[in-house]
Amino acid sequence: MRSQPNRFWLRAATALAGATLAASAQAFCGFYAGKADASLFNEASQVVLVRDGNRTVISMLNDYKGPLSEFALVVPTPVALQRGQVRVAEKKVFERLDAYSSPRLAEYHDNDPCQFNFNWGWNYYVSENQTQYSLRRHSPMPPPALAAARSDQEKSRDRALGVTVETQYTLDEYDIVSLSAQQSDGLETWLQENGYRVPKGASVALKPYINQGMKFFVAKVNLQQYNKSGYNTLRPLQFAFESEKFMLPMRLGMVNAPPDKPQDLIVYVLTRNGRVESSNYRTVKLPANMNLPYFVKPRFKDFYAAMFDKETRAEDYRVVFTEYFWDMSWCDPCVDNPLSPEELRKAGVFWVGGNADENFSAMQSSQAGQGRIALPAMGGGAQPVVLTRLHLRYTAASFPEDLALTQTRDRQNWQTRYVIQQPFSGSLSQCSAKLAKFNCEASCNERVQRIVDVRDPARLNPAFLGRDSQMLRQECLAACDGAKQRGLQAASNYYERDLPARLTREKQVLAQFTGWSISDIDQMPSSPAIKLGRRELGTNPGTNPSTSPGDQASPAPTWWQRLFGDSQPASKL
Amino acid sequence: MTAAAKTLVLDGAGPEMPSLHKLWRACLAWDARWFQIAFLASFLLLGALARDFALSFAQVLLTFASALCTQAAWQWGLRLLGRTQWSGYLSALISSFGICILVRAESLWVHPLLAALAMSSKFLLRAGPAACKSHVLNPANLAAFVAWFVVPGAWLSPGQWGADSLAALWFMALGGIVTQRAQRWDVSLSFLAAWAVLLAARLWWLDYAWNPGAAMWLQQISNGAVLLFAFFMISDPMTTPQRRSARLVYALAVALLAFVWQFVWFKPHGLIVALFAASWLVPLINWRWPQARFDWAGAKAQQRGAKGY
Repeated sequence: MRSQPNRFWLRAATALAGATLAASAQAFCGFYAGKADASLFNEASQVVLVRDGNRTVISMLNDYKGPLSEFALVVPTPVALQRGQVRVAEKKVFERLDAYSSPRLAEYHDNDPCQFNFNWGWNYYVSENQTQYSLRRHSPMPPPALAAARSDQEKSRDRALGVTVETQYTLDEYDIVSLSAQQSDGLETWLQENGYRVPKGASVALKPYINQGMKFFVAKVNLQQYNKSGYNTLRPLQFAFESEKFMLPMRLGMVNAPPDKPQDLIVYVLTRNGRVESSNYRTVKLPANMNLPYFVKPRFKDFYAAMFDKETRAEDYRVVFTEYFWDMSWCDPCVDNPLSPEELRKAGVFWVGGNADENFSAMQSSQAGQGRIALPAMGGGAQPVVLTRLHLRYTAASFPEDLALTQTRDRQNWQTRYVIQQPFSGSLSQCSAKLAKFNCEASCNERVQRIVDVRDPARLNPAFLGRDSQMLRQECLAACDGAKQRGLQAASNYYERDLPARLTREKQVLAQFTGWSISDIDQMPSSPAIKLGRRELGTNPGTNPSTSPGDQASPAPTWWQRLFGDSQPASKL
Repeated sequence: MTAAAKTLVLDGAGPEMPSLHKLWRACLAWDARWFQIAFLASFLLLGALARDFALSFAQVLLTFASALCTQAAWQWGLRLLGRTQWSGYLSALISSFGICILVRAESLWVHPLLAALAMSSKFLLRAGPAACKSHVLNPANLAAFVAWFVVPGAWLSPGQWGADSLAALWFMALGGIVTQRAQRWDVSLSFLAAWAVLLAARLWWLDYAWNPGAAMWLQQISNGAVLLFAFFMISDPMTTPQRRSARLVYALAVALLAFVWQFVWFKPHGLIVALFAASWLVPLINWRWPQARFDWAGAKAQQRGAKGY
């Protein structure tokens, strides 16, 4: 178990009675053992969508793998984005969100079935307040759970094409243009003339967005800046705007896509209140909380990929799957630490830490990250951030409309969690040998002697009254023998009956959800070695104070300026 | 009349069929709400079993208990003549189904509270000229509106039906029979036609190509939520204008308002909101263009004093 849940339970300890705590602590005794992160899915686009009211911050991570000179990003936006509304984000934000919300495998361990419960003679003494000494019961098994300025010539060409360049600049490794257009074919021509490699026929897809009054955010890679930057991958672009539209213009990415070729999209939606779902497609939760065979542990990613594939095909790629929905102040089990307030702010969550304005100002100050603001401590007061992780596998034919979203008032945490119950690494013969080692004679002599030594009959457990030491000894030996037999029987039941039956059930579940055949499952390498799956924590991601210096001279910065700061583009329009 | 009904009637003319004909006639004599209840129950089952609605059995049970108790309390409290008859309780059942199908909540108290509110609104919010005075709001519509607008921990899930054209046909066929029985097929069809035209016009105006435009239109129009609304909510005879011409204009107005709300202002749940807003005008419309009031249980029940609660 990671530090976060521990702190959670400690808090619970102060609030609840001891008995309740004991019950709660057992609710998760296992710990994180594996995850199936986004890297698993080829060509999975990832989007972080932060939304509160009409304020929207979108970060897009593309998995572009071709020559950088051919990269072009065209995003329809409800408003023409001005300079301060765009910044280059960090890929790490995606990695952290992915790690935190990945489908997870929880691992529990069986107790040793070879129990030797020989309690005879233990509760021989009755204290004055009637409290009896007794053997502590073994704890029960955990529940199976489950650019440059434009010349006059260029401007006149723009007018001819019906394209208006609202703003144009270079931001780090990107050449960025915000534009509006009147005609889609004019826009397509403009893009091609200006060096953006857009697929032929894009105008057909661009047309409806133009007619909706939408503007375009266009980016290509500035190779000079890119080479200077030292980065070896394209970093995500993040933009902030206000709009009533709560949607993702995913259809544009389907231009020239084969109608039946599935693509993956993972959307991390961060909101203040409730779970987010699609308003124009069905949103369903993936099957979760099943018990899987223990030997699936090293193949957990394969399991998840197979199950996701089976589910998406069964739904004909027409469904949005929820993979995770959780209040971001904690997790259980934790695949990775919850995001720190700094990380959340980098992700675009502008309200984190209470007063959004104050936080934005702090981000602009040179003292950023020095802890001057009273941010909620992780695991402390609940942060008003909830994360919904949506995973779509769609085709151009199955998702004819852009993805429209709606925020519900659902606050019931949910996750794709799977359980493995590790068998106890022993055997019946080991149990037999262990029990045989126990010396009943010696133990009984000692216990009988303690009883005989009680002088005050009123203090002696009435069950032992009026017996001589010989009788007591015989009784004790019989009890010891019985305990050995019960232990052996329990071990026999466990190793020969319960464990095989449980494995059979778990294999059937595995077969049912993945579509794998039982014979294939039987051929998987069983792993008898029981190893702890505990992952060591990395460096605390919350301690990285790197934030861009802000423009403090601005008298009335907009909310996105306060969030992003002035990102100082290299050249201006 | 639907194709199925026609077939049965025609078959009934044959020498072997008089008994079937009789059965069909007997069916037609029933209160149309029995049909509605059967159909809504099947939709709820379809949703719960095949569309994994986020709805618990306890929520369903509490909704029904609350709606029936509230209905009984008002009927007995007001000493209404129809308190011992089935009639009033049928509406409570229908409203309960509607609430269960539309509203989602994370707690157990939301559904019964909405059911109680919806049923009470039938007794508290009454208006219109004396000849056709009735409740103003469709109870399920009120419940859905309140759930979306104000209730903590409650929400509507318009995407829950997905877009399955087979399901759409199923809805159409069943809804057609029911509304035909309820004499309000005109509202359903005029609304659906208006909605379909508005959606198509939008796609045409935005200049979508045939592909994906046609698929988009089909997805939008065949949404279970749209069909449920058309056949089981806006078609409520108690809360629609009594005169047919007024009713048709009313259906068009609701479709237009919902369209503007959803596609011009980009606000959610256009249909629910538009009907909620338009319902307040119905008493005025009935007052301006009067016509005899509709009564669910027919003339017989009217004689007994059931006032269409």
